[in-house]
Amino acid sequence: MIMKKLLVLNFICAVFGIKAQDKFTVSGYAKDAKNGEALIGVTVYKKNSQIGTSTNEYGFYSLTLPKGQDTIVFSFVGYKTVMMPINLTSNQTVSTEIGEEGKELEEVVISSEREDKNIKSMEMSVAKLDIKQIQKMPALLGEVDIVKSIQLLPGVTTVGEGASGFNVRGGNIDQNLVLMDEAPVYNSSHLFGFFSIFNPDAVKDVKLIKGGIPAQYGGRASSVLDIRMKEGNSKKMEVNGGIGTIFSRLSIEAPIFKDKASFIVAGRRSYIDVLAKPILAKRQPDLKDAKFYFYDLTAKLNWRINDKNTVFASGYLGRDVFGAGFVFNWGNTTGTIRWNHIFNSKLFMNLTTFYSNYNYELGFKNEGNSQKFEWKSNIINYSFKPDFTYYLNNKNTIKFGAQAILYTFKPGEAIITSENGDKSNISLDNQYGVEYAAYIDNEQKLSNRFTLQYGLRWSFFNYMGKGTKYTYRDTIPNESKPLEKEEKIADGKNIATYNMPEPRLAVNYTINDKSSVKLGYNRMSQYLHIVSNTAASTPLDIYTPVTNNVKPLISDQITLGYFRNFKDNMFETSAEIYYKDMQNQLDYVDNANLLLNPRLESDLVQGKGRAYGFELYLKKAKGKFTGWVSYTLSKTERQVRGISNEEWFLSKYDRTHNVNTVLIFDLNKRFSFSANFVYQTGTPATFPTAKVEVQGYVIPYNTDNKRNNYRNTPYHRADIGITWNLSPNNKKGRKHALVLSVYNLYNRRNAFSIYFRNNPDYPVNTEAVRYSVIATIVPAITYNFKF
Amino acid sequence: MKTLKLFFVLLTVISFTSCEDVIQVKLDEGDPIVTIDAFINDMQLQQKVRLTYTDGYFSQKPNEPIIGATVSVKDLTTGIDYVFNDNNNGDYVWTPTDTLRVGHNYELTVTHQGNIYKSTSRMNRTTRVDSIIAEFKEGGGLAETEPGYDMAFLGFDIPGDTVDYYWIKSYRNGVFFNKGGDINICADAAFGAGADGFPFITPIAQGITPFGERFKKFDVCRVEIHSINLETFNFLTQVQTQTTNSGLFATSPENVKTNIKNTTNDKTKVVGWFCMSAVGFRERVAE
Repeated sequence: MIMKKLLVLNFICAVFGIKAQDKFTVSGYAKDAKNGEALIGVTVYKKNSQIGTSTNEYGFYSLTLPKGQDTIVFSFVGYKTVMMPINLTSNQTVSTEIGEEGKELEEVVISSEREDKNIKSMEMSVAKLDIKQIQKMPALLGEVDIVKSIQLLPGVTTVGEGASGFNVRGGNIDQNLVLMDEAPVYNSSHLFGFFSIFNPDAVKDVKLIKGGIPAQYGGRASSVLDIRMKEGNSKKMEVNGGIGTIFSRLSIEAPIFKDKASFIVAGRRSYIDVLAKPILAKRQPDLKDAKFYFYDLTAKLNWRINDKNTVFASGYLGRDVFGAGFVFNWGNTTGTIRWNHIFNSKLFMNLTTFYSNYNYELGFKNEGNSQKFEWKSNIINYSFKPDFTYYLNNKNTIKFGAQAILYTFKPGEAIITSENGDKSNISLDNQYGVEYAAYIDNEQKLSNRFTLQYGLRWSFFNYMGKGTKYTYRDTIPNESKPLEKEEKIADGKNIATYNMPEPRLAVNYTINDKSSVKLGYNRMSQYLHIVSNTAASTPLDIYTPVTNNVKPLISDQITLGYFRNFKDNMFETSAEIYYKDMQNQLDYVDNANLLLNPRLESDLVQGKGRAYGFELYLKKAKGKFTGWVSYTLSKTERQVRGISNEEWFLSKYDRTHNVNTVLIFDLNKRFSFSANFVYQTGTPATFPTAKVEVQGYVIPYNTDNKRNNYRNTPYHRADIGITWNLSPNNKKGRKHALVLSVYNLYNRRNAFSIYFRNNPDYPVNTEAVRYSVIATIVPAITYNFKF
Repeated sequence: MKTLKLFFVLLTVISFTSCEDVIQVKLDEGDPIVTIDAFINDMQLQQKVRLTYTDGYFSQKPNEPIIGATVSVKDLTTGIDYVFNDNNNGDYVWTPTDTLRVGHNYELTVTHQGNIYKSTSRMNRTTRVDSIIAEFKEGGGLAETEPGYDMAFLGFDIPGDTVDYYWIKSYRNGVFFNKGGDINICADAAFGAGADGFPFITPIAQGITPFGERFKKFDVCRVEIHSINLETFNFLTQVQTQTTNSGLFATSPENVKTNIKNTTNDKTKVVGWFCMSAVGFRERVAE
């Protein structure tokens, strides 16, 4: 409470305590000289001073400086440093375009002192992945994959290969706010979890925030994955494409009005089905109509109306389609419209409206009669979100805004049709909710050494009708709760409400130009849960809002980090420790029935969670050799009433040790080489200590009743990749390249799980079986082009 | 849900080079627990309750039988007690002297080493097998199946307000298909309640021929529809899950529940299940 009051006080001082007479504001955009894309995170500062800022997600900056002649510097890793002389007599607009550095990075000696951004910025526990770097990393089947690349960062784990999503610092996969141009994505995977849905050709910027999460973000408990799509080349037409082992890709971007409006359209489609069709037709006539493919389409349009107004429209449509006597498909659709408006040189607004829809469909049909089963489910969001940045002065940057999200959950619309055409409707009620949030946040420079960022987000959720309100009696732990009563609730009427103040704090103490100490605290609340008790999440998993029976997830995390750069910022290192406390994590009673169950809530239980760890990170950002090495030591546990004797047990994604190495070597203009190595402690598993015989079935049984009492064998893997540029000297920017990659180089059969069964030939004998998702070397070749 | 799982497994297999290897794992051995396996039905055939001790999971022999216990089943409606005789091999048997009745409640009592274990079960109504159809299928295909007869049965759920639960057991030449993955259970005529009074849906009707277990010409197919209750339905679902819990979408392993209580003390654990079933059945030769 005292903390909150202090924050408020501090904030009031910041707003009213400062006079600004002899100062003027310079503001504008920083863009890429090559294609006109707005550049995110460019450092803009007054030459030879500590006064500076950086461009926001839309490339905008605002800097207040004393009257008179000056030079402002734009600096961005991998780009030439731009110096702009200015003469400040009034507020000014200075926009600039920045060119890339030459190919031989080490020969371009620009001692841009602001490559130490990791030291000076407020951000901690943040990983930015350069899309160019991701593209050079070896990838499964040659498919450049953003989510897979994120899994190589410290503090990020997964339950195993092929599993969808990722786990950040002990958070479940639904605790990541995955944003694509500000619209949330509910299932980020194609083909269960083998590929992510983001087309790398359309992605501009990837940022993962694991801790010290600023107040502008909310709604999920563990992390934010902020993905920004390209705006499209506003200088000239550009075509990128590739022919890979799984996908073919094509993207077109072009100006509509030069430097005013441009677009990008990018699509991918898998084509195993096309290749397999003739073979299937010959060998498997009954499968000749089988469907198995996935595709996605990403499009974006931007229009710079004038200096003060820019409009963006972006959309995504992706789907996985399977069928062979059955229908099974799923996918996301998102649409975002944004308006950037500059009220004056100090006040910037972005207004977002988005639509997001994740849905799936499953159906079986009997040939020859009318017997069939159809099942549909979806989650739909509409949202309105104004965000403001007020560049008060060069000591205070205030962000504030609000958001409203309308949710519709369709947990299952299911109809059974009998042979004689009788229909039985076993659909579940839709569920409705609305989430509101408002936030304010100030980044305040107390001195050259001390910077403080403090904010408060307040969130509110209303679970409402039309629907059914179920009330359950709480009886035996780990048993389905018996129903006490059910009431029909009218349209728009309140069923349950929750609200939560969420304080956020970040402190940066800069020891010197090379090192700093940062502290972060954030509270996050989450008003929806994924309902999934399988090892890997399936496309059929539904989301449930918080209800009168299901409470919101709340997490509190504190992070402390030390950041230090070496050798003129050639090497960036960091060491961070974190502790995260989680309340109301979802778990399930034994034998829970999670699909098409109207009394789903009676099978859900909620428990406590805690996660703590230590992360070491060493990155080489410049030179012929680039890459990183990271090590994470961590523990993630849960405690749930009625499960595992009510003792703390390890989460399914707990991995004690996690080592990642990514190396990229640019030999010359023609060749670059890359290699990954990953080592992770095996995931926890529950193994039997006895066998029970009933009705001839031999059933594994754990006499201690403990969950996750063993571990699977450790996971390790190495991959390599070679990029061969076939047109290194083309002046027009045309490019042809071959990418060769080998995944799982030394052919290890990593255990996804170990399970227990009767030997199929000698049922009396019991045995342990290791299930490996990828059990061979996977070589691949991809041809990429650009013109 | 079984079918869904199968699709997932299939898709994953088609898509990638996944792999399963038998490996050596060292496991702790838990203390032996009394297991009571008591599925009794109304057929005029010898009825059996089997008592064993659990054994270490990797023990490569059948679980040790319990000898010297007393076992009885009492009809709580009539008050008549039916005593099961110790066969000295873990089996306790009773040859019907009376007909067990639908709608009656029964109580199982097992006494062993000073502990009295009890459970109750109601015998629910069942439906009949209207007919069995046999369809010859060529072998081959992706799964390289053997040629043979796919048997399927026809039958209807009994319409009514209460949900009926059935366990459909099938036999080839008198041998029960006893793999956990073959368990064929339903609520009304489908996997979940709702198909009230419907003919049994195709996956259930065809489920009497487990995958890869086609009937040869002149094999005898026997189908029995056992009435069960919701608790037994859940128990068998659990058995099915726990004996086939593999792959990307495996659930967290859990212990199967029991409906048998030790009424003497809480310390001596017991596992197992008691269920009274009425049975409708039919046989047919594959041809």
